[in-house]
Amino acid sequence: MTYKNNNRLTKNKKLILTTITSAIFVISMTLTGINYNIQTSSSDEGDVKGTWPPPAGQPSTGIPHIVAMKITPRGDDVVHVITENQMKVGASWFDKARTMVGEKALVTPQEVEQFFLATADGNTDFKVIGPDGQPEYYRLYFVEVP
Amino acid sequence: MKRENMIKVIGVSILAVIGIIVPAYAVSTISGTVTSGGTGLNNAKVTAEQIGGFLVAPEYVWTRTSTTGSYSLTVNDAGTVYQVAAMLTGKQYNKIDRTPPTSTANYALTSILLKDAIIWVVADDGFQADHPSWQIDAKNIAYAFADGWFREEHSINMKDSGATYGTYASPNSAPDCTTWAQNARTALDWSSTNNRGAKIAIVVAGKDVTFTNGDLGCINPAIPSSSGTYPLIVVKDGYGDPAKLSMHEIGHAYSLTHSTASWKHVMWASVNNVDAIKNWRPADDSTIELNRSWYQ
Repeated sequence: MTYKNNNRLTKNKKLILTTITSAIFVISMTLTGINYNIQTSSSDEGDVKGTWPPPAGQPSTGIPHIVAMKITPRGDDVVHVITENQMKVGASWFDKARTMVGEKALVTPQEVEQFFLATADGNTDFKVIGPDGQPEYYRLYFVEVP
Repeated sequence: MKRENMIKVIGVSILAVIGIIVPAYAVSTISGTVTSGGTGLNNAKVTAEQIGGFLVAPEYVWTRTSTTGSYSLTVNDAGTVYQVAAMLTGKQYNKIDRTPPTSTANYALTSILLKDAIIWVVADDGFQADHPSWQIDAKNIAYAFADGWFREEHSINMKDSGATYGTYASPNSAPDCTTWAQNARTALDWSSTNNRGAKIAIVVAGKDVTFTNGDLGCINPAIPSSSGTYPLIVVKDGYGDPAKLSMHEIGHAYSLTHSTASWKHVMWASVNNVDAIKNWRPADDSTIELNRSWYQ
């Protein structure tokens, strides 16, 4: 009787362990499969595609800066219009970049996130009314310094 | 089986599984020193990249050495292999495999000469129309923003050929990038015998150029396998992180192909999920080291 019980217990143990192991295997293979599908969606050699902005939480690879380059005027429909008020609250990154056109303006990680949010449509062109009342146009770039 | 026995068995099984899984996620430290000529190197860069990560893209962390040459890196996946590399401009790039918690990695870097990569910058008419300071802006987008990574990691110095910057009248409605690049090569008459004192031509295409397959850049005629090929590279304006784009395309010029190991590598090319960081995979670093004198 005792022997019989122990044998049943061993069978049950095996069953439970097999179930748990199988579950882990299935989850692992599912995740591996997702990974594989993403990895094989590459384009032809020699070409590169990209999305902007980078995803949140991407590791830093350098000290973050933003560079503003002056561009010729463009229609309001193809630029982000930014106000003096916005520059003071929530867009300090723009003010920093604009005050040193063509140079790397040091920004904080929070300002980088704000810049990414403001350009989530992939467009980094901005218009602002300058101190002289005239519109100014800038194309902004994220530039890390290693 | 009795209910209490069943609970005991399940409990033991769960603990066994946790015992197997938890060590793979334990936080560990990789530390050591970077020296040259027996003296600690200040401000050397040390990176740790996970090799064969568990299901997801490999972990990548970096730090810099203190004035004594010591460093410490925290990694999240003990039990897997990390390739730990040390580098500094003018020193030979060096890497060591470590599997935390066995995680001391010391480096003695030898001094090396910088190798130039001589570049002729070209901007298409659309870029010039957009940028009043087009020459300065084109240089930055073509290579200057990316130069720091080549310089620090592989002692490659991106250098202007000194020739007048080129102009290319391009159609905004463009074919695929490779064909556009070939058309530019023909129009510019860029070749080994008409090289403007450079070894690589980089053409910055205006933001309004739209390649039929959505590319942001390419290399013509193909990824070289030797020096002396005078590649022509195209990078498109308007992308928010031009250094990443240049690192990718200039990486091709050093014979790097696309990474299929992780979308975190800068040589990853994908329709979606391009969150590559400015990091060449360790195998690519070895290739650049081998070829770093190709364009001097």
